[in-house]
Amino acid sequence: MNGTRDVFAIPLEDGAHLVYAPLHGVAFAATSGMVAALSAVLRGSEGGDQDVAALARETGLLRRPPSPVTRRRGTPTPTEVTLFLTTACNLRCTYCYASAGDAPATYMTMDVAKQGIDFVIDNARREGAPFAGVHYHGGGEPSVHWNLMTESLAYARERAGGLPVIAASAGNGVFTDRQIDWMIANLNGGMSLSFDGLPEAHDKHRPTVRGTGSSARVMHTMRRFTDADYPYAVRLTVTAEQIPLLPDSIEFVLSNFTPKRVQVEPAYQLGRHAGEPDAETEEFIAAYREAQGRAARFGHELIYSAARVGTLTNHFCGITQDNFCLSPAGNVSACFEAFSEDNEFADVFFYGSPGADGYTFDMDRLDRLRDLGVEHRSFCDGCFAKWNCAGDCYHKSLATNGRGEFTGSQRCHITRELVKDQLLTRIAGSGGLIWRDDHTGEPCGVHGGTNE
Amino acid sequence: MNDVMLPWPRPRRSGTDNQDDHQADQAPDAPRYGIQRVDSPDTTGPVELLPIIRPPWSAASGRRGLLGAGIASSVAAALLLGGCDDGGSESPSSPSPSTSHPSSSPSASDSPTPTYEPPTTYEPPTPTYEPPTTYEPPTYDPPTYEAPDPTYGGGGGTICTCNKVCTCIPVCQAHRLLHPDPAVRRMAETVVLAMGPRELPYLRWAADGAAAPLNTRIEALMEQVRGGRRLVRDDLRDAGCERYLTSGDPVIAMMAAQVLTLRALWLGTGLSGVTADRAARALTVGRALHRERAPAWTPSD
Repeated sequence: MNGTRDVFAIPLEDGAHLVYAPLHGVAFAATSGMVAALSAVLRGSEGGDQDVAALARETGLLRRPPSPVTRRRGTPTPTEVTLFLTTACNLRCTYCYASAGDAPATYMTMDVAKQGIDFVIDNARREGAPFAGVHYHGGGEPSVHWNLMTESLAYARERAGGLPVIAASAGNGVFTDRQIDWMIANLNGGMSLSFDGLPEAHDKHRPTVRGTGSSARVMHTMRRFTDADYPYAVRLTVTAEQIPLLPDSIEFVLSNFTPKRVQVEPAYQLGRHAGEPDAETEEFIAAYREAQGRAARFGHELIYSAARVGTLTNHFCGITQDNFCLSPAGNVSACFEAFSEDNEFADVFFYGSPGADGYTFDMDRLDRLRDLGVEHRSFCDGCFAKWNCAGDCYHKSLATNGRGEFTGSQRCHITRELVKDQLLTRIAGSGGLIWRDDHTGEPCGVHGGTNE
Repeated sequence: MNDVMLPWPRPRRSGTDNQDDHQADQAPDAPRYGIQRVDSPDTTGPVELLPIIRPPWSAASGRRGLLGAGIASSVAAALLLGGCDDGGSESPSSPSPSTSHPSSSPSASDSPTPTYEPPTTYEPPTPTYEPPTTYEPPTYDPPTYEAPDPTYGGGGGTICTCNKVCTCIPVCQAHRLLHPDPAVRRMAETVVLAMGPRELPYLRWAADGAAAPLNTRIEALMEQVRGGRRLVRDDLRDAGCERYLTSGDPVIAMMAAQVLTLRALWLGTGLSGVTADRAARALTVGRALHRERAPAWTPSD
């Protein structure tokens, strides 16, 4: 008997419940009577409803599910590196979490990049990894430090020899054609572009240094990527006043371009957007839901970083998994948002520094990061979404809650609502009755998603 | 049902305060959704699953209107029982058709046709119709039904792996496509369309084993399925199929159950009470037939 610890009954309207067993990969909507009967069956009560017992057995709810919890140990041996090339940026986005451009820019040197690349390639060889990873991100726009971007990747490929190197980058999409050509040819892991949808929405919040709109440049990049059948993702950031535009923005993106993934996030009240109106609201959820309806017409499911039905993990991101990112100065951070030693939470996320022979790691600090998995968050303990969101972004929870124990945030509510939507969508797409996350084979005529 | 808290989390901290704080002392209780919290004395209503008849973004006013009427747990369980590729299911005590619904036998007055009691040893049903001269009933070779291997690990092979909630169980529904009763013909067509292209091997088997008129009808429907014809909501108009749940022909009874289930899943019409019990039983018997017959059209490894 598995007990009922990770089988949840989530209230829906009209007294109905959404029964969700994330670790068993099962969800269905049920009456209160069904929930009560199921509870009795799961407790192993005598005289339980035999039909409900059969249902529980056939859905696998009587099995003990595998635990999704993993934890790294020992000295880290990363096989992928993320280089924060610079804090300089050619845009002045109103909601930039990094306030890029407000402080004097810093730039990584080739020596710093080489040391990180050497380290991960050597680890990859030693570990027998199928590839090494070299990625570009950071508190500025990586492509602004163009020479280092291209030279570091060329160095990595040469240094790796026969070992494949996967390279990817985030970027603002304001590139020259020459840069686009290089990205298509070299960034085999794809690009993630920031684009806010409708040009007027984008231009209002993502102006260039000169104050002009940047949408035309980004759309040119996306057209080039589309023409080349190059894999790219689009991320839309939604400010409070742009929430009503979100459905139209999604439709604009998907009717004009071909991103592989479309991510939508409310603007964070960090950096340049601190103190601005909150976008983590019920209005955001409603707009997201409508936007998802539009996206479905294009065969897309929108992505919200913490709502990940189908993913079971105790790690929201790489901060608990020895993420290996190098600041321009060459120090090791686990967090994309803690890109500089000046970051408010640098003491939490920076866990290593370069040495004569590789890197020196602060193992106490690294172990504290490793222990930030959702299984250690008491606030999340009774939440049905915990194995999907895994506690959400730890940097944002620090910014929201401070350094005390996590006590939830507005994002928790958004996550739960969107997870519910994802579950209901999957049930509807599975024939309407029960969703099981062990789908194999081709869908049949009934359960193949024609029920719309 | 107000025992699950849905708190809006506390406001974010103000300003740039980055000192260690003690907000945990003031924090709201964490929301808890544990299923045991719903187990309270007031939860004595119907034991039913509620179909999701449209995705949340298609529902009016938030999520309202996306739930259909309840489907009895007996039907849900019958839909899940064996038959499909089991994928390692641990169902050693899956009920046999003859014992799964011991208290669900409807009275004779509930039905215009004789009540079908799933026999432990299956006897060929007595046809309740006279085949027309142009219609040659398929060679119906009813199996000697015995309770299946309780592990359900053998027969059937991979038929439908779509979440194992199957209303598309081929038995020999196609052989009812020229049944003299138009309601039965409609049910057969509906069910064959629900099977869709993935069951074309079954339809090939059914066509090859049918006499000329029926063969032609099955071939025509196969061609339509290949050409893209699929089940649509209009196909699920009320065919008056409920009375066939107790047909002496288990295939007809199963088709009636399948159509009623499809209506409940697609249209949200609900399936409960005595009708649900009968449907569950018909589906369970149909499963057993399917397991026995499917090897005939399922390629062996």
